Amino acid sequence: MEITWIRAALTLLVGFGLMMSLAAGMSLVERKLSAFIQERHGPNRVGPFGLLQPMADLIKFVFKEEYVPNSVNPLIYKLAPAIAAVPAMMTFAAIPFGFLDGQPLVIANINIGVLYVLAVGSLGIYGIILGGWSSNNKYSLLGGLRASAQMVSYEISLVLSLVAVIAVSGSLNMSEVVAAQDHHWNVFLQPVACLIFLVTMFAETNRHPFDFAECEPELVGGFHTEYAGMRFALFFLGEYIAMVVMSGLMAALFFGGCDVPFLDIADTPWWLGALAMLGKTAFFLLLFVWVRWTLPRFRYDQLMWLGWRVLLPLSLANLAITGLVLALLGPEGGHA
Amino acid sequence: MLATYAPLLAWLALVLAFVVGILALTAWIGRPQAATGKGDPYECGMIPRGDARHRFSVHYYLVAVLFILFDVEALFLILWALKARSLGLVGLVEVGLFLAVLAVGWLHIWRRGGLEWDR
Amino acid sequence: MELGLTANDWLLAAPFLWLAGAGVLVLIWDAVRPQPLAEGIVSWIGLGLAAVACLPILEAVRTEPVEAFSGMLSVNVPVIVLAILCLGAAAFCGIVAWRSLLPYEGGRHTTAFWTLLLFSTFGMVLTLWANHMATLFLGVECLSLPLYVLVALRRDQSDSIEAGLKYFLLGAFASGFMAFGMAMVYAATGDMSPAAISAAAEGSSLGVFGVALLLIALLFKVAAVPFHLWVADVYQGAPTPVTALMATGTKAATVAALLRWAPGGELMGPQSWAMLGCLTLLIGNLTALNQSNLKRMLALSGVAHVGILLFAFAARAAAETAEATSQIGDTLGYYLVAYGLAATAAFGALELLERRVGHSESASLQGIARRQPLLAGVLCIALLSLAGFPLTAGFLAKYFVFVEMIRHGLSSWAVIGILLTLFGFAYYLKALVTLFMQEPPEERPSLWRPDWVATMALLVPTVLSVVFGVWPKAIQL
Repeated sequence: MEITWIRAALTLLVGFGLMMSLAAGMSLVERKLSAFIQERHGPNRVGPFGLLQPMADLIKFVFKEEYVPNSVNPLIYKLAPAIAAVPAMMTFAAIPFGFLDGQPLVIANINIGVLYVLAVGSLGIYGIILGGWSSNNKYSLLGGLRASAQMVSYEISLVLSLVAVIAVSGSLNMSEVVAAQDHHWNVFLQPVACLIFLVTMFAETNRHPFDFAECEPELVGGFHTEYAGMRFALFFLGEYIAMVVMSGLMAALFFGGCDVPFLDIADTPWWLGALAMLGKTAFFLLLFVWVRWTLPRFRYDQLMWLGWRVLLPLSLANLAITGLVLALLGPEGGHA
Repeated sequence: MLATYAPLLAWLALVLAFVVGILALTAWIGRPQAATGKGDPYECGMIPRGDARHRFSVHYYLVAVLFILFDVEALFLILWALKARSLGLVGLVEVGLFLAVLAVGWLHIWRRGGLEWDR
Repeated sequence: MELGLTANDWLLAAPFLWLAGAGVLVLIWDAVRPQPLAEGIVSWIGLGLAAVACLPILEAVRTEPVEAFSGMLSVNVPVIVLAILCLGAAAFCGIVAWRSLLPYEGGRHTTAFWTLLLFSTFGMVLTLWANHMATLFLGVECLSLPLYVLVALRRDQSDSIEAGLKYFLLGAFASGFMAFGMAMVYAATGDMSPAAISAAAEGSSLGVFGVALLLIALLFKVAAVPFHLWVADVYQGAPTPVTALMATGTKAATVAALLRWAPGGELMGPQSWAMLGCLTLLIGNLTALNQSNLKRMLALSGVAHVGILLFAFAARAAAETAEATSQIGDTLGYYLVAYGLAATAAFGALELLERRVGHSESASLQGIARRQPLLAGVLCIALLSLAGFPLTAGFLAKYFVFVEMIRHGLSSWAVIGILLTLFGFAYYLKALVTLFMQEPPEERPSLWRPDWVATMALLVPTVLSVVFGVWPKAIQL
């Protein structure tokens, strides 16, 4: 059955709206939840319970003056936020939200979806390092350098943890990985990979407790110290969307995506599946904020230590054990 | 092929249109106004000294080199992972040898201090 | 358990497995408990086992070439002989480096030296075996990458670092050319075996361009004019044991690769090859003539030797029967062995002399024969063999090449070649005059000690140079 153009166009537009509202909602939820954890009120002036705060922020960002500081490299300085935001937005296209009429409900059903997300997602680092470098500010430069070394170090464990998932599911297509998890989520088959992914997820999005690219006490604002207005907002948009994508990956690859417990994927109505996927994604988004106010920040050398000496061998060992079990099960084993 | 990637291209167009559009909009509305001191780098209020673009330690680039090594390894592993079940024990032995060689490299880097960040 | 490998696969892969295994073992050893002596012994054992593993292959290929891994590797007699030469050169490099290079910086680079040496040798053998563009590229890269580091191993000498960087930058370009050329040839023909080269050379302009790029990359690796400019600086800057390895092993492996992958036919006919060879010989000789540094002189004499090798390529391009082609292949193999033995002995002796006088400037080597008669004698025989003096392997090697040229209708080029070779005698004799007939300068007291192990090792290539020069059939034993 071919996907009609109308459905593709609708998916595209709804997807864009969903991505933007998730990112905007996240910016509000982060502040509200932070306030809750710290027993404050948080934004509560714009609209009921401050619900219109993201809109107000957007308007404010648009009206801010677009200042280019002296002694920056203007071209790279202006391009960097876009370079940071676009790859994150691009990866969202591969996150599957379930099945409709037997066809995957996803913006672009790429058969190498996992690889695509990893490849395009890691391009975002260019925006951060270019932004940090072009600012001609020592703090920005340090922030950019730290961010790149950190993302590069954790990328390997991230990929290796996903390789184990791919080995279990036998496919690079996200929707097929989701379909293969009917009744047995990968989190139960690959608990170690899930744990590694959880840790690297925080590092890859530069979030607490690994937010060294912008840790306020040391580096003012890190790579975006010299940024203001919409350019600054784009960096944040990119970061939030990266968080959404990472949570989506976690939900789809480890927690069954649109699979509702005790229901066959084929029997689940599409809206229930999509809601399940959204709910799981939202849980991990909230986890980002929760962790932020729970764990203290690492030291930078501890971060590198964890990445290279704990996560890397752990993910390799996990992969080796996965391979051994799969080989012992044989070609047909494991697909209950 | 096209059916798979056409939505992706459309998505790229949408994303680019959004980013370029919003940057253009804000550039049009929010014209910069000159003021003294506004253009200096913000370094906690100190008057900035010197240029930020220093050379940095070659040790830093070691991380990049290591990354390339292990990321290429991960790429090879993806190919194996896709067929891990059907390749069976033979595939496992071969990929195990590959992993073992890399693990030796990793062990060596560790023992020779290549992973010490603050050295 | 079935690993999907045939007996031939195992046979041809055995030398690699020993080399790579020894390299990995050295790495493990260093990670667990660094111990220079043990690492050296493991490396030598690895090289020795690899050489032993070559012997059954030699038996197998005597009748006809052996292929393995679905034709990705293919071996014939000259290739095996050259592989043994490469392994010998690597072992020799290790022996000579033992006293000079390894103790440097408190022996911190011992592991690096041994593993890089083993992996580089691995690359040489793979380049020799390669019968598919993928394996060729893999071989050339495995050969080059460790060498870039080995050349720059003396981090306290700016010469060494400069040489490493130059070699790396230019070599990386050549590798890029090679990969790009291979891609084009594959695009034009859909084939990655050596047969694709001639198919592409006669086909579309895409294929011709690809073949040209591949040819340029290989000519760079063998250091033929006009891609020879790196040679003098790199050979001079590199630690001398590494220079010996490069002059012998790298040259043998890459020339053999050129033999397998060089285009013939209309694109590169006998005249083009002869012209290229003549230019290389001329420029190599001219630049070598006026060098005040013996190492540099030997490097440029190596370029001149590539010129004569290219003459053999011209004869091959003119040859019509398969038998004649294979005979020229044997001639090239003999030439490479002769040159390799002489170059190993020359650079080895130079290294030992360098330790006494501090560097390789000919001014400070004046009359060294009075103080170091044995080493000077070795250097003398090596230089005579390089020059092509009768009773040495170098003479017969040149003689065979010129005979092949005359046999295939390239007499006029052969005459030019002979004249240029005679002209080349000038700088070898100049070096001999410096060594033997001049008064030695006042010697400052130094901590120099004779290195008898390396000196004994030096005698092996020297004696072989003479033996093969008198009895060329010995090489086929």
